[in-house]
Amino acid sequence: MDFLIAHRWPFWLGGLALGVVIIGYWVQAGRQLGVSSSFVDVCSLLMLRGRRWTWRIRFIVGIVVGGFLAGIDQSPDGISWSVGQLDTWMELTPLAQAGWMFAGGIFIGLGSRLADGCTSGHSMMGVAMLSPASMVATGCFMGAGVAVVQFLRFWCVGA
Amino acid sequence: MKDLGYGIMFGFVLSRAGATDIDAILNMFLFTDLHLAGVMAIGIITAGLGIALVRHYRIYFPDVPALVPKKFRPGLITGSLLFGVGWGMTGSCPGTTLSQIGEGRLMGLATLLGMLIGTFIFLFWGGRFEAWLIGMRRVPNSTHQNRAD
Repeated sequence: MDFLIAHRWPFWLGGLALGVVIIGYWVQAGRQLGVSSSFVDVCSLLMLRGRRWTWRIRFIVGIVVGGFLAGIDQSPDGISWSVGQLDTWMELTPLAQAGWMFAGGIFIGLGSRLADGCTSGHSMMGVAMLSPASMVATGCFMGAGVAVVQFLRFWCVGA
Repeated sequence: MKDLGYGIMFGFVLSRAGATDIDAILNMFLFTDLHLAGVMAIGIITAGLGIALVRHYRIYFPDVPALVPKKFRPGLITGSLLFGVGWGMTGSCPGTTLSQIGEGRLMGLATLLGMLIGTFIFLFWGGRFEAWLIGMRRVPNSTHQNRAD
């Protein structure tokens, strides 16, 4: 029995809330949603170049805080190193799991910059804007994601 | 501070919606649990309606900036496929990883580190390393950045 998610909202509420936050951020603060672009600012900050405490960095710090607040009364309690089913499939040591997540992260970081967006900027904001490039990007995100997970599971667990 | 506030709301909602659960994303790609697909769909529809409404009644929203659609760049498809690979490998994306870390799912730190390194690789390889080193306020178009800040 892996960690259950306590208090998970029904999908329509989660989606509605997400949409409202996105629109609110645009209308009230004039910001177009995008997360992967913030990592450029972080790189710049870490290298002590140019950008400092930019609005994107404040935004992503907020995301971490938001996760913290949401997680207060939610399973798992406290800290978890779980990677869900990946653990069952691949049976790696925690260090190897971290290495795997790190490698996957590189794909995400590099890919999102090449595509100029991630699932927030393209799939949510971009598709909501009916932007063709974002729809193409989202299609590719999903296609590759499905392929990788299906293959991974097949490779590890079999049909 | 608005950015911090909206970030908090965004991270909170991502968590409550179940997006920070790696299994939920994996199951979506396995088609055994489409909960997050529903979340994304409703989110997109809601945001889309909001955008249409605001644009239609733009007179009442004079200060709201125009949205900048992403363009078709050379790296779009390659990048999106690479992103998808990472998304499938980790069951996470940039936003959900950050929220995961806040929740206490600390494997997200490994993912985050990878994402930062991946970003750095792009910045370096993109040939705009110099521009970035100078800390340019306006990132040139050749880095495919769609930003005006």
